[in-house]
Formats: sequence, C-alpha cells, structure tokens
Amino acid sequence: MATSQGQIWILVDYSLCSGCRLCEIACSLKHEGLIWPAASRITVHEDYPGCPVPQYCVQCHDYPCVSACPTKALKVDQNTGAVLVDPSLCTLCLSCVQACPGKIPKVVKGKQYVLICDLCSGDPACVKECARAGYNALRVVRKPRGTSIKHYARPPEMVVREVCGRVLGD
Amino acid sequence: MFCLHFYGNLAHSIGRTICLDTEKCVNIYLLVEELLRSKNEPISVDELLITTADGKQVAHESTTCDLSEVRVMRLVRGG
Amino acid sequence: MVHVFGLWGRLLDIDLSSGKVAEMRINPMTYRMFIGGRGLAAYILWRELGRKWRDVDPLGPENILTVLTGPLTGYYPGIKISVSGKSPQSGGVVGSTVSSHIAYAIKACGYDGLVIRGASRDPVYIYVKDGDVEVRDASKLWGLGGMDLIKALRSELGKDTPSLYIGPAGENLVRTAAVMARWFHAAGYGGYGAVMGSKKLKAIVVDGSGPLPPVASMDEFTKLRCSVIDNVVGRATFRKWGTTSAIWGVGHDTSSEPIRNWQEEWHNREEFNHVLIEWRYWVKNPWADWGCPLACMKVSKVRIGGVTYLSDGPDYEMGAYLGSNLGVFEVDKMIALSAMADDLGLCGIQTGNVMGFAVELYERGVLTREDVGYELRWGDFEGLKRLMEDITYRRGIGRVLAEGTYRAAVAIARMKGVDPSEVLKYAVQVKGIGIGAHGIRSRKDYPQPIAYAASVQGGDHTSVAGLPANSEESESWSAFLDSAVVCSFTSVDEDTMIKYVNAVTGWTLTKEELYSVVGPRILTLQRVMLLLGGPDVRWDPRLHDENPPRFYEPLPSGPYTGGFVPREEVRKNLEEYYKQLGWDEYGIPTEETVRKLGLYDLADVVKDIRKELGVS
Repeated sequence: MATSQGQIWILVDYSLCSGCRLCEIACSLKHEGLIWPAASRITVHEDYPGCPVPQYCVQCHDYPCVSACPTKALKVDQNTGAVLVDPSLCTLCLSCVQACPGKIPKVVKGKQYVLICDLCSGDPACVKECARAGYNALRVVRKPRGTSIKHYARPPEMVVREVCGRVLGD
Repeated sequence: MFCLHFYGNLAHSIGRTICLDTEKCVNIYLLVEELLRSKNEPISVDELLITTADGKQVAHESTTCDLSEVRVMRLVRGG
Repeated sequence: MVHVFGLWGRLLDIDLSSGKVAEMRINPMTYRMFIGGRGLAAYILWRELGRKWRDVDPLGPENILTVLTGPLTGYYPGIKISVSGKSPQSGGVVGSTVSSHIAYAIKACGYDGLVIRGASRDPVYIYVKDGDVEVRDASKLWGLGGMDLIKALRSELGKDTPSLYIGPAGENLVRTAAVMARWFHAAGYGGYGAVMGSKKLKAIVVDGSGPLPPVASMDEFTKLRCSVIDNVVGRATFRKWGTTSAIWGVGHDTSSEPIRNWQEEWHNREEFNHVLIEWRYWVKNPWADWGCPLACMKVSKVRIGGVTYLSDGPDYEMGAYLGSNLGVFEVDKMIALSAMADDLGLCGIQTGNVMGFAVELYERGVLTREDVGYELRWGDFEGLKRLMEDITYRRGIGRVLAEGTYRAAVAIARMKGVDPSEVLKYAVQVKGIGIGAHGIRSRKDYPQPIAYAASVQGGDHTSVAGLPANSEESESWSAFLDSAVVCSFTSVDEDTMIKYVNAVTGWTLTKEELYSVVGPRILTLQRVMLLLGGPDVRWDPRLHDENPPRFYEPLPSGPYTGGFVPREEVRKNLEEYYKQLGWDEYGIPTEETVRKLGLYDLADVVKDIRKELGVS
C-alpha cells in the first residue's frame, strides 16, 4: 500500500500495450460501477494501427492543475501523490485542463466534475487488470523523483505520432 | 470406467464414445492428448474444448478420478 | 417482463431517402425470443420486408441495413457488431459480424443498434453523438480507401472515433464488398459493403460518451467476466500467433486450406510458418480489440516496389484466400494483397474465392486472354493485383467477377454459350456464398460434411451446420453467439456462456431452450427467408443444399490423399439434421415447427414453398 512505500506512480510501456482497453473498463467499473469508457480516468488513444497510447494523469512534480484551480477543488493526496477532485467544489471551469501539458483531465456528460486518475488510493484497478490480461504494460512503481515524469503529460496526438513512428516506421 | 464422447469430425475418426478402465488418476487433458497421438490426429489438445456432460469446461488439473465422462470438441469453429 | 438488463430496448431508425430519424422500440419479449444481433436482424427484416421479400432488391433503396449489438456486446471480452440485411450474395439474411469499437459506442449512446433504410442521392455518412444523429455530406470522402478515410474522418472530427465504413468496392456495388472497421476488420459474409454503397452511405461514425446499461447481476457478471478473462489469457499460443498459425497448420496439418481454387488442400511451405511470419513481418504484437484479452491481431508490414503495405497478421482467412488459394506462396505478396483488399473494402474470402475461380477458368481455357485483357497465372502478383483492382472498379472482366463467384459462373456460362454446370463445377460456393478457408475432405478440420450444404448462411465458415443439432457443433450455437454478439474466438463452454447471458440480462435461458427453441427459431426464420430468396436467385434444397462439386473430388496430395466425402453420407446427415431441427426431408420447416417456435406467420409461407417445389 501507498502509505508504507511512499507515493506511487504508474509506469507505462507503450510497446507492451495491446490497445485492448481492459484498463478503461476496469477503471470505470471501479469508479462508476458501470462499464463507461468515456468516464475512465485512463484513456487509450490509437490513431494508427498498432500504436496504442494509454494516457492518464502523471502527477507532475509541480501539479500545474492544482495551482490553476480557482475553486481549490483539486488537491494532492500526500499518501499516493494522486490529484484528488472534490466534486462539491469543481465547477467544470476547465482551468485544470488548460493548465495540464497533456490536456488529460476529462469532462464527461453525466459527471458534474472533472475526472482525474486518483490512483485508486494506491492500488490502481487498471494496473491490476493489465496484469490479469498478462500484458503488464502498466505497472505500479515508487514515484520517480524530479521533473522527468512530466514529459509523459503531452497531448495524445503527439505521443501517438512518436509511438507510431517507432512501430510503423513512417 | 471413464468415458470420452467425441463430437463432429473427431467422432468420425476417433469414434463417438471411448471408455477406458483407468486404475490410476490421470490428468484428463494429458489423456486426450495421448489419445489424439495414438489415433494420429493432426491437432493438439489446445485446440479442443473439453467439457462435462452438462457443458461446463473441465478444469486443467482435473483427473479421471474427478469425473466419469467428458465431451470433447473443437474449441474454435472459425478462424 | 418489463425490462432487459444489458440492453436499452431501442434502436435508431434512420431513413436515408427522407433524412428522417426515429426511434424503434424493441420489446423485451422480442429480445428474449431472438436474443439480439443476428436473430434480431432476421426478426426486423422479416417484420419490415417479409411480405415482399422476394421482390426486394438487396441493392435497392427498399433493402434495410441493420447494425446491431446484442446482450453480450461490451460485457463479454471479445467485442463484435452484427451487420445484416437482405444479402446481395444469398438473397437471404446473413448475420455478418465484425470486431469494432463502434459496438460499445452505440450502447454508450443509449441505443442497441441502427436500422438504416432508403438510399441517399449523394454520398453521406451517419454521425451519431450520444442522442444526436446527423446525416452528413460525404462527397469528399467518397472514393477513399480505408486508410485515407480513417485519417480524413479523424481530422474532420478532431479525434479517433469508432466507425464502420466501405471502401471503393462497396461504393461500386461489388457483391464481394465488406463493411469494414478499424483498417483490417471486415464484416465480409453477405456482401453488405455493397448494400452500404447502394445507399450511398460511406461510413457510420459513433461517438458515445455514456455508460453501458446496467447488468442484472453485478456480482455474477463480475465473477464470470474474471473467469472468462483468465480462461482466454490461458490460450497462450493463440494469443501469441493469432490465427496466422493456421496459415501453416490448416494446410500442413489438417489438409483443409484452399490451394489454387481448392484443387489441393495440403501444403508443405515452410515460409507459411507463423514463426517465420512473426520474425519477418510483424511490427506489433499483441494487438487487441476493445475489451479483449486475446489480442489475436498482429500488425504486419511489407514494402514491395516502393509501396508500404500494412495488414493484420495476416489472419488465417486472408492468408489462405489471398495466398495459397491464388498460388501466392511469397508471404510478403500475400500480406500486400491482404492489405489491398482491406483498403479497397473487399471481403478477402469472397474476393479471393472469385479470383481463384477466375484463374482456374483461365488455366482451363474457359476464360481467355481476350476475355481478360491480360494473363491470369497462379502466384503472379502483378496480374492478381490488377485483377483485384478491376473487380473493385468493375473494369473489364472485373465487371463480371464483381458479381461474386456464383453469379459470375452463371454469367460466364451464358457468355460462352455453355451449360452453367460446366462453369459452376469450378465454383467453390454454396448458395451464392464462397466457402471459408476450411475444407471438409480430409475430415481433420472442424467443418462436418454438411457444414456448408446445410448452413443458412451458405459457405460461411463461421456459421457451419453440424450434428448433433443440440450441441456446439450445430448452427444453433453460431446463431446464439452471433445473436448475443460475441467473438467466437473468446467464447467458452456452453454452461458459462449461457450463465453469462443470464447474468447480464436477468433471463433464465437454459441449454435445452437454446437448442430446442431459441437456436432453431433463428435458423428456421433465416432458412425460410433464404428459400424465398429473390429477386435474381432461387434455391432449391434438392439441388442447392449441396457441397460444391470440387468437394467430391478426392484430395490429390498430402497425408489425406484420396480423402473425400461420400454423397450418400451428406444426404443422410442432411436428413438427420433437418429432422433434428423440425424441418421436413427437404429441409423446409414444417408448419408444426414454425408454430411451435412462435413464428406463426411463417406457416402459410412454408406451405407455399412446399407447393412451389412440388413437394406438398
């Protein structure tokens, strides 16, 4: 658990991702009790064959979304490092989305607040499902120090282009 | 006595029902694999669906002591 | 019964002639009777078009295209959508399934499917976003192949959005055209790509942001879902090589792979081995569809003559039909032909079938250089590429072959002034549908001797008939999987599948009911519509519940040389199968049976069919 090992982080290996979206299903089942891919806190983008890119909050060291929130609806869970959303304070003003270098927080019809990965309090459902399926494209690790992880927070189309370049060659 | 009921073309080449006297407890999947080899069937046990008489999949660790009969058919009809 | 869990009970009813969009309610009892998908399609088509079925031109505006989910869609690992309508191949109803993210997206819009009628004057695409439906201009998209179309839709919509679409083949009403999805996926059987083309419908794009409907028993559903995922994950070799391994195994091991228009079914081509294909051509593995832990797909890439071709696997059917069946044993070229078929929106099976047929006719001198304009030779990549394009664009001999193997055979016989049987003897098809790449002669593969002869979907290798009719060998099982709408690669045992459907829907379906009522009901309805046929085809069960002549020629090579299926055995098994389904000795459902199955309005129809055939 997060409390005993410090803050955690989800490590992704794009080459292991099959694009199956079992992570999205697991996430929505866990948080919403329904299969609701649009409300999943993790999203798999795949604009070209064979280069799926799972994206979710990477918990930047400086949390630009948290400081951008005008209503203080976002706060950092000190145990896990996740960004937690207070549904009663969120006004869906989208300041956090604009502040996020990857535009990752999600706004979904039927939810009155922005959706951000909460790391399932330290035991992420998506990671477990990915392991159950035998891919291990997602793994829980101790949160790396420093600024490097922020590079994962990029607009999906940019990441997709790069991953595709590596897989398809052009 | 342990009986295997084969379906489809397996029944045509192996026989509809084969009953064996099994003194020891033998793993059912290994038994079927052995039977396939002895009959020169060109497929492997991975390609088969082995179920109980009422259509429930037989567990991989099940032996001839756990069940008295099974149904054997092709797992994937397509592809 | 007031509610079905796992389904919304409503469809979008879109008329492309008038542009009107309505909601079609589906009664919970109808779902209970027909399950969904393929069964529901047959029900809707019969209800809407039954009285004039024979006169309905599959490529006319009166045909209805159905795009339906089922109770397992989105809940069971291995997603599919069912595409149906009156088939331009068989004149009956084919429940054609294709793996597509659109299946969950439709449910996420609050609907179970789409019913599309009429025809637009100008090219359009349907855009569904949650509750809103727009019929949008597609004039700029018309003519595009799959790759470019997906790119164009992506830039128009600003994001990757699930779609079904057609390539140029569907636009040109090629009867072997498929409804495509996600670059390499095809709903091929039935020829519904041509139906979309006839409606000037380039694509259906669905962006659903809602949840799937709740299930009846969350605990039971969660338990079953986990056990199925574990079961599928256990299929390690299937996951590793997908169906590509069959390109080697079905030919080399079970002698049931089409080679040069089925003149042989055995090969010993080491280069067809999946391990070599993996090493040489795969750039991505695993690659999966939505919610599927099997990941049977692999992305392969080849470069020939400065052109890059991307394809799945290729999966077995493409590998067999666009490889060995055309005498193409160079894997890079097989991959290139597979990639071309996908991009042009052709069903690789039906197109590979008609192409192999054409090459054999050329080899035998039935078709000449004069007829074709160039030489047709086994394994000649350039010539075969040209032929595939000619079929797609209906140029030259392609105009005849674009009608599919059966109709092309009849037309060529007429052209040559010979009896149709002289050409049909090389046509490896049943009731207008080319046979999937699993032969019956060696008897080492899964299809039984009556697999195709008795199928209500003709040569469809994913809907084979078999004895006993109360087991997974029967076509009732395929009808069930296609109606619950789930992938046959991830399906497990009967017991679990039935429990799964019940956990989602809240039904109390049993195995007995499945095999004695629900399956036979769907098959019986499909059978009657197939026997009605029309407008240009009419099937007489005494002649057409039959294997292609080639399947009675003994296998010429391999470990099962000499293997064939005796005609008497086929006849005997057909009669037994009919009997078990409650059909008469000709395979016409009896009045008693249709009543027992609750298909009351078919009672007069089956009487008429019997009278017409002179067997009343």
